Amino acid sequence: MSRPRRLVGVGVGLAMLGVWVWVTTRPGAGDLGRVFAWGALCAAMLRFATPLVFGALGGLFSERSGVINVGLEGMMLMGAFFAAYGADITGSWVGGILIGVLAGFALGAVHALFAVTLRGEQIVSGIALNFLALGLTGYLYVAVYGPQGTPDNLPQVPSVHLPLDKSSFLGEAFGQLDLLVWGALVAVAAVWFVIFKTRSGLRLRSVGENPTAAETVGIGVIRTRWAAVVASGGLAAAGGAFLSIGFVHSFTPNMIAGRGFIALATLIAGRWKPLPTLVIALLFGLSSALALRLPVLSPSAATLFQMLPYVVTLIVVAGVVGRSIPPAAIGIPFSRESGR
Amino acid sequence: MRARFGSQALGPLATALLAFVVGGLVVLATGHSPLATYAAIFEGSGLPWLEPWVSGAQRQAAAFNLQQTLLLATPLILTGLAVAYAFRAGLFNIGGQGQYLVGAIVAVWVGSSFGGMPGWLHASLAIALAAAAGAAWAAIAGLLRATVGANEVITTIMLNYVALWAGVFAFGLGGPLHAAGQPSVPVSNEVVPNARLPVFWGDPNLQGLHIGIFIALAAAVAFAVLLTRSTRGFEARAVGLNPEAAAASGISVGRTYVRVMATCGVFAGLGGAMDVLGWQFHLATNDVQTSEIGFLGIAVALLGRNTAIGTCAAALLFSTLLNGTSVRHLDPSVFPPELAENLTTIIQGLVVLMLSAGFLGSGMLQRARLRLARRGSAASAEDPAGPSEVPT
Repeated sequence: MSRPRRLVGVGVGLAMLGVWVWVTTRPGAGDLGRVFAWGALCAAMLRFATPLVFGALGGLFSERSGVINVGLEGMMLMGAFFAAYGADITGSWVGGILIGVLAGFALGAVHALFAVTLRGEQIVSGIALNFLALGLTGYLYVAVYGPQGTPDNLPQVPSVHLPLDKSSFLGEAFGQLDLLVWGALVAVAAVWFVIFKTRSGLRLRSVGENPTAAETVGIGVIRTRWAAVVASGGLAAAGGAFLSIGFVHSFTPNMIAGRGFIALATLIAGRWKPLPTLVIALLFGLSSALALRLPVLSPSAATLFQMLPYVVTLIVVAGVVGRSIPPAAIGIPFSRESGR
Repeated sequence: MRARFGSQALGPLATALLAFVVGGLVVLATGHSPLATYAAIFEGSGLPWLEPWVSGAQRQAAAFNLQQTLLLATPLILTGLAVAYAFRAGLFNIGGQGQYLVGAIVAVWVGSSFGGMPGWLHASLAIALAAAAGAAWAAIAGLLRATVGANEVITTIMLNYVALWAGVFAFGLGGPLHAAGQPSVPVSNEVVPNARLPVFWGDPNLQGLHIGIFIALAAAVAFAVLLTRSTRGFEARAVGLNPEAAAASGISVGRTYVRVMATCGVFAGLGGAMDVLGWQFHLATNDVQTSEIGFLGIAVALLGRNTAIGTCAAALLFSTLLNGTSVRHLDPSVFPPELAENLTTIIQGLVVLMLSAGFLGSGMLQRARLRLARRGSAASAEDPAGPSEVPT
């Protein structure tokens, strides 16, 4: 990309940031110390980033194998409902996560059936998954729980207590995090290792870049894509499970509220790589955490601060990330007979 | 031409039918009668109005329900077109929701200010500015794609949320468009009676059907003409089919992206204006946060195969379903509306899912026809793109 063009993008981004800052700070600034309890802010950043990390890692599996996944939202929603339901019927958060992830696998399998085996249009079936999951979880929620909602005593994913001084930065930031927050960080490392350091990861990537070549050396394209898409559903569902039984301790219809799409954006902005994706998710998490705290400075602009994560993502994508190049074979159905 | 349209419509129709059957199984699984449920949804949608033997109070109720269905179809057609036009140019516009909201916000602002203007001028101004705002909003994504190559999927999603929070801010307590007369309710001022769209069917005081449905249909015609009869539309389709080839033949791909997105924004922005000037007349922060018209537009466009006629038909199907299952219109003794709303979403999902693989759809049909043709004559098999020449 030429330099002047990128500068235009940076300019557009800066202009938007400028407008936003101008609008939000007009009523006058207060003292920053009150707003930025840095340790708590860091913990909140990690909490907000966690569902996105799981969702984006799920998307990474699918898209690296050449299957577009715009159904992350639905997969996360399945995870959120079935984790709550599973925790309720088994009486344990472990059961909740397991059943949530299984539900994610199931929706992933639907995507694989239509996008891989039936060689459908991948964006279309992904959108369909979102509607399906929204309707199915909403239906089951009304049928099972009705107006009372999920029970108050829903088993919750426990927090990990680290022996750190509670008043120190480290203690505040890392002392009391939900197990699944750590799970997300471990998952980033694990996914990086699997995708870039193992034989199956190499196969998965080759299927996403050049399926014909992969097939000629004996890698089953269809089978690999199936595995990747099903895994994708499970990972995204873990993000949903974190939201329902880790973060808010209940399920409400449509509770993913666009986070699946934001996870997709995180993945694309992270250029389909685990570590950059984590960085983008953390940035989004940080601006979400800030958005909740900044109203102290200017209560009248409280709702405007809610824009912050989205504006920041826009600027990052426009000004810094620019063009991200997807896996070469993404979106193209593979058929063994025609070799593509 | 006629035969070709028939074969194209058959697939989606069969798919929709199958989705209803699967939806019926879901109803059955939860212990209700699918037939009675679908009959009640049909009733609630107002479609019995089309049956000549329905009369008296029943007919009036049906007329009212049908007005509501068409009221809902209006913005769905427009947001559907907003997604479909982008798809034709190879862009995925998830931003219909934001563009719709920006249009609605501008329409409510213009419609509730400038009191002294003549009605037709006031309404036209509100519509025009709403369309322009939608266009500008969508063009941001087009511009970012054209200049720095930012993926429009990301940028339109982000712009949706920015628009949403802008609306919540504008109509929230103390916000710039908050109604001064209602200090404790986060709602905008009312659109002045002068600037409201005329109601041509039903009671204007009871949400009768306004002329927006004709504006939506006119937009669909404009969509078709623009796409198939204009240079801009040709460029859009060329870029959609193969950007490299389009660039090589002298089409500016970047400029096309901006123009296409702006056009999409016009459609979606119009949708927002129709709802605000036609029946809502004000926007509360809650309306902004719960609106899903733009997202539904994605499914409408997909079911409509990104064509003008298809989008209108799909919008009608979805509005019938949505209205028939709404709390206000579905008989709760037959089937709980809270469940039925979700059933509608499931059916929508199934329809789109089956369409994705051309299940019972045009893809499968075309393949079957192709096989037939190969067997029949070598000449027609050489032209797989022309199924109209294939004997049925």
